[in-house]
Amino acid sequence: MKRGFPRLLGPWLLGAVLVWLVGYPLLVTVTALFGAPGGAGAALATFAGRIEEWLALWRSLWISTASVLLAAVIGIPLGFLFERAEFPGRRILGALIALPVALPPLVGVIAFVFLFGESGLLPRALVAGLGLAGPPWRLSGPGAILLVHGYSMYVYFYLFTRAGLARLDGALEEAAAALGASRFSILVRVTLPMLGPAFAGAALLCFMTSLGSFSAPYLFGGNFRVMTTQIVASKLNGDVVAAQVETLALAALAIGSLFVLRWLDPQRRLTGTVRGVAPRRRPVGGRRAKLVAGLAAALLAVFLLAPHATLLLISFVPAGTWSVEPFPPVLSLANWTGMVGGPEGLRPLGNSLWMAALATVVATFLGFAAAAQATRLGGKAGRFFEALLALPWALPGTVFALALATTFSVDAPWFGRFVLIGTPWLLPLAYVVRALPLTGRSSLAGFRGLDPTLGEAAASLGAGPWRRFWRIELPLLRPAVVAGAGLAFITALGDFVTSVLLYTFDNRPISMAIDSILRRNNLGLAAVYGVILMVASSAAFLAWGRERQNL
Amino acid sequence: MGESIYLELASLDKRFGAQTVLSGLSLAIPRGEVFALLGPSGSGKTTALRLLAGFEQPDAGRIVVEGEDVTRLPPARRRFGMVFQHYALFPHLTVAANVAFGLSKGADRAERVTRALGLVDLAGLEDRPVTALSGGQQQRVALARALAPEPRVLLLDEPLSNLDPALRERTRRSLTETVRRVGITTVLVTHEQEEAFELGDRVGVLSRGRLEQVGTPEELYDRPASRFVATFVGRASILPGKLVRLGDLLAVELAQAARPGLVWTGADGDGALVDARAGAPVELILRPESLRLGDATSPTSLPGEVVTRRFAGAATFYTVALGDGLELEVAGAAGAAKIGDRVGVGPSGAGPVPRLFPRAELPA
Repeated sequence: MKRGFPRLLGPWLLGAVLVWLVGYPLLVTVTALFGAPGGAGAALATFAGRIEEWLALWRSLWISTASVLLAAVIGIPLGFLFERAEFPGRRILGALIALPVALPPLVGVIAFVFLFGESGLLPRALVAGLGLAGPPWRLSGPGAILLVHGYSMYVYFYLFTRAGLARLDGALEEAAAALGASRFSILVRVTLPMLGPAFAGAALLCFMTSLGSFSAPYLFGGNFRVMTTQIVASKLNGDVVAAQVETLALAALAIGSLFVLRWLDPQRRLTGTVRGVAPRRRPVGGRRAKLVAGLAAALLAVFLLAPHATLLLISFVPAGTWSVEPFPPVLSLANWTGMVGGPEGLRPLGNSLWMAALATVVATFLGFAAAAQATRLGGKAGRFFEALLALPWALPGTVFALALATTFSVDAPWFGRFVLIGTPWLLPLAYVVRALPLTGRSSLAGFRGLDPTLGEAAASLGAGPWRRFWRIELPLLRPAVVAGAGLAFITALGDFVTSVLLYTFDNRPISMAIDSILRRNNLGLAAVYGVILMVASSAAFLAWGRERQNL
Repeated sequence: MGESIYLELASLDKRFGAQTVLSGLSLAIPRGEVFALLGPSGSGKTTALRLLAGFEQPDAGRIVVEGEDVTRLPPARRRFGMVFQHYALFPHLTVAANVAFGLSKGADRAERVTRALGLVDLAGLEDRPVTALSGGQQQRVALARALAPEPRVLLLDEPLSNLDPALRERTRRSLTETVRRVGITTVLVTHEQEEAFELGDRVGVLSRGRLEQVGTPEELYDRPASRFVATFVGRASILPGKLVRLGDLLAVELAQAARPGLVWTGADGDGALVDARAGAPVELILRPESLRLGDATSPTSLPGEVVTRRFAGAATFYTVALGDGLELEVAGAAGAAKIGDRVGVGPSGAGPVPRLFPRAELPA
């Protein structure tokens, strides 16, 4: 019964607000080119004539492709191991290794710097232990970027593989075995093809995330520029037109990649005829095998958690106390107390908190309303709302940041443009746009999972639309809404990619504080902010997990 | 039926796009009657129930209850209670909160919840989460919830289909008891003949959106009005043939040339064919208990071979192949024949009178 959902906002008003936030800035960016000196043709010609631009495009493309492959190589075997085998510590480790997905990219990057960087914990240990003259490697260039990408994005493959395996009907593999197939043959001919859609989904997420990735290329790239860092460099150099063309080029690359990946996606509906029961986990047999499995899992956990542990450690190293020793000689709370009493104090923290909270509230409300309309309207209008919700996900954060900066740098109220640049309001607005896919798609999933007969049952018991909404639909949708809001909050809290383009002195968020402190080489204080981000994100992630269990 | 009509469905039509789901559905149900709509999936029975509940709007026709036209009334204002196929219990509410959902806030609310739960033998489970209940208990909570606001009409959508067979039997009995005790006018839809026959005072058989027949279970079984009803309600064998007239008598001559002979004779007007003309192609419909197994050489029986035997406790059913693809299902004693036996099938003299229906002429 589609009429059951009350109109939270008229669909027209809501549609207009969403178009203004999501579609309009991109349109303005395109049209702004025509006003550039020499017109759009000149701007495009300049872009096409520069070898660096083509290089950046090419690097974005191959880095993203390589990131997908690397993440798959790590994530798929892990998914099989944790879904199919039973060994001591499986549950806890299985949850822990999903954690990197919840951490802001910037936190992962600085944690890598502290562990693997030239003056990081590991190279120092190697220098001291092996008597080397200098650090055995430099953490920079494409290799470093790929390392960080692989480290943070294998989680997509890991989670999708596990989910796919859990959904797989165990009888299919048993049927293959009964027909005489070997275990290898079953894997190759039955299991992996059935997981095709899961792999495709993970690959899509990885690719789009890599394409929009900013923190790793920004901190490790140096002269190795990908599109996101290229845009920011142009913008910081004051070359606005170049930044706009680059933004559009990146947007085109993202949309094009999305279509190509969708087209490559195995369209066959491999859901099976009957939803069966997943096969039982195979216990690792034998005491030695158990020991090996447990040990390997523990080593894995150490490896995966080492960067974060390092971050915590560095936060206790006072500035200027650690020079050549392999291990920091002094540990104290100086950085923590220094942060509270220091010149910046808690301001970046407060800024990030209010902006993330505001953006979460607004994006949750808009996303929920849009999801309700998409469900209620259905058809073309419904798909239009869904597309508006998906667009900020498909396009890199840099693209939206620049488009918003372009749109809200002009005072033209009749065209829906206001001067927000230089005010503290533009950045939270960008957070809202970036959060819409998270809150909206989560609500949408909630609406899709809602049993329509519950609304009908309430109606037959005399409940009007509002009562049905408050008493039945909203309580049942709460987990989905909370999940979306939690993700939105984490993302906004740790945001770096839009902040670097849109922050002002008054709303400098945590990520920008970390960036500037790192430049002043005060590693300890940067680590303090990193730890705060890490703890806040993990807390939100775990709360989200609990809420999901209540479903 | 002398009682006045309480619930009336008048010429209801419903189309979804180009597909006609219901056409000209009319029913008149007196107060307190339990009416079962029986039909295979796709027959339109669920749509009929959803029209009654108000979840769908008919394209034509009216729904009248207590003299009030409720056709355009939203579900919330119809005061019809409904038990959903999958119960649709609110998973985030307790048993008591589910039952109280349709009750207005008043001093007697808790008392009415207790009374409704007592009605279905679930007193004391008020504070349980509904998700912690067994399937049978959930079904009864759904019934209590629907009955608590004292609706004018109770609607049951396949009320037992979600239960396993052993539980179904027991729940069917308690459902019948509860509905009778409350005395509420009830419409239930089901695709199970047994369910319709046990619960329904009268049963309407739906096929492809049309009402084929309305009657008591006995009427439907003994005097089906169409070939569809005859074969959908209970088991039946079909013999194609040609109607012949022998003075005052009607007879059926089997169609197959290899098997000439009269297989049934009866008085004019006995069968369903009032305007039967001699030579008309017909189908003779026979219930298993109207037939019996006998000697293969008997001149009054059709010879054939037993191909299956199905023991069902109270009776044993034999399928006898007559050749030419014709088969008859015959009820008999457990030891009446073995598979492979040559037998003769003749009238048993008991059971419903065979029915005759016109048959579309096969192309020569």
